[in-house]
Amino acid sequence: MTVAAASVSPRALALGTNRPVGWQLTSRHREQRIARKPDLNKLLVASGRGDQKAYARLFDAISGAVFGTIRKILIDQAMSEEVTQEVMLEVWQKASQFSPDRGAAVSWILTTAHRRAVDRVRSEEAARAREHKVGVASVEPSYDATGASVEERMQTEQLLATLGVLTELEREAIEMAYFDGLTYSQVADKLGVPVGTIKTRMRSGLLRLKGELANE
Amino acid sequence: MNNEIHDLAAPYALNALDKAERDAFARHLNMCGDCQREVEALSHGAAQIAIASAETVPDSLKERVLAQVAADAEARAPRRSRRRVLMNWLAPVAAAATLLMALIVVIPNGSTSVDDVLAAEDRVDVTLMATEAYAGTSAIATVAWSPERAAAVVTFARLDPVDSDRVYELWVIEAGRATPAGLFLPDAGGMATLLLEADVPPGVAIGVTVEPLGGSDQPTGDILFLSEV
Repeated sequence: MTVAAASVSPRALALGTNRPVGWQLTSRHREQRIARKPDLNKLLVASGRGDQKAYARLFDAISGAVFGTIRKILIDQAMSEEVTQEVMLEVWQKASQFSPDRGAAVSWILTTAHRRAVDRVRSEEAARAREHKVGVASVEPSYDATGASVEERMQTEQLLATLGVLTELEREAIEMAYFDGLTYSQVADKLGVPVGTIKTRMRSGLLRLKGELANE
Repeated sequence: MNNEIHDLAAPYALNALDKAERDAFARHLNMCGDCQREVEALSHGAAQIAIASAETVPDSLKERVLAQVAADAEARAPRRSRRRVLMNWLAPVAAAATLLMALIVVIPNGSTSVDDVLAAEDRVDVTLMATEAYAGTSAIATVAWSPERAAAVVTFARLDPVDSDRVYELWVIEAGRATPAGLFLPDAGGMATLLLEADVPPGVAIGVTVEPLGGSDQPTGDILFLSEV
């Protein structure tokens, strides 16, 4: 693959050191967080019927996660905005195809967003732009240095807390795939671990993130 | 062998498959209920990473998307409500998109027009699904169908351009027999809205192929979209 895709992500570097302990969200916190959210399935179904107000509420509820995910993968601000715009328009246009029976709206939207960003980062043009930006980002002070905005620190903390439930190998495998767009066999190569192990760790890690496997 | 394909559920949920494996697993997924449940659960896990990655969206981005959505809704809406919607969204960005999307090709079909179908009281909207031959396209096609008039209007967005010696052809397919239902080319934005030039009674399917310029009597290209009304 490309040079950029094979490089270590700035998040991987930031998360690899001084990983905080005790930041895991308890299941009660998680429930509270979810309980406050509007019902995305209903909003997406209503959007599919042409309800623009429902779509605007859906946009407010989910676009932050869409944009944040895409930006952490593509790094470049303008390209991330462009891809976010494409994804959110596609959500509107394909909303009528969505059926809550076949899965949750949140997974559907965020999977689409992630896939679009990964497709883009695997293309050469994006890889070049990203390589440059990652190079710049890696010499910048780390997030916990003074000077990072409160918002930036909170964003990082939330990500650290979420990924903090994973074992080391699960976290490395998932980060390389999720943020750097590597395939599982590239991840296996890079970590020097059999592909079967990577697939297993990706699975256990994702189930742990979903809260189905207890923290070790 | 079968186990191996099931093992791809987690890399699939992480989009960590190369294109060939992704396509192969997607085909398998259509047929495997276990994998569908597994992918849904694993995607939920992956979604937690996205949620934790959330960042503030620039206001300008939100405005652009909502303007595009309004323009898109307006292009699909029955014509009588257009003027009012248009006035609400006469921002410069929206106006350009709206004018592009409002280009309507009207082909007479007896006494029925595009507007008649779009405004029909018994109008039913059906998504025209891309087939496997056209998998991966971002094109979107919807059918507005009036059972009473046996007429349908198809609207395309983001349709790929075709070579200069080719044209898109619509078909009404009934019991394995295809009837030509019109030729068209999308505009520069990949948009097209047109009335089918054949009756569309209940139970038939609507299909789209690419044919040599001038059209064909029977489909010769792959069926790119196909759905029953």
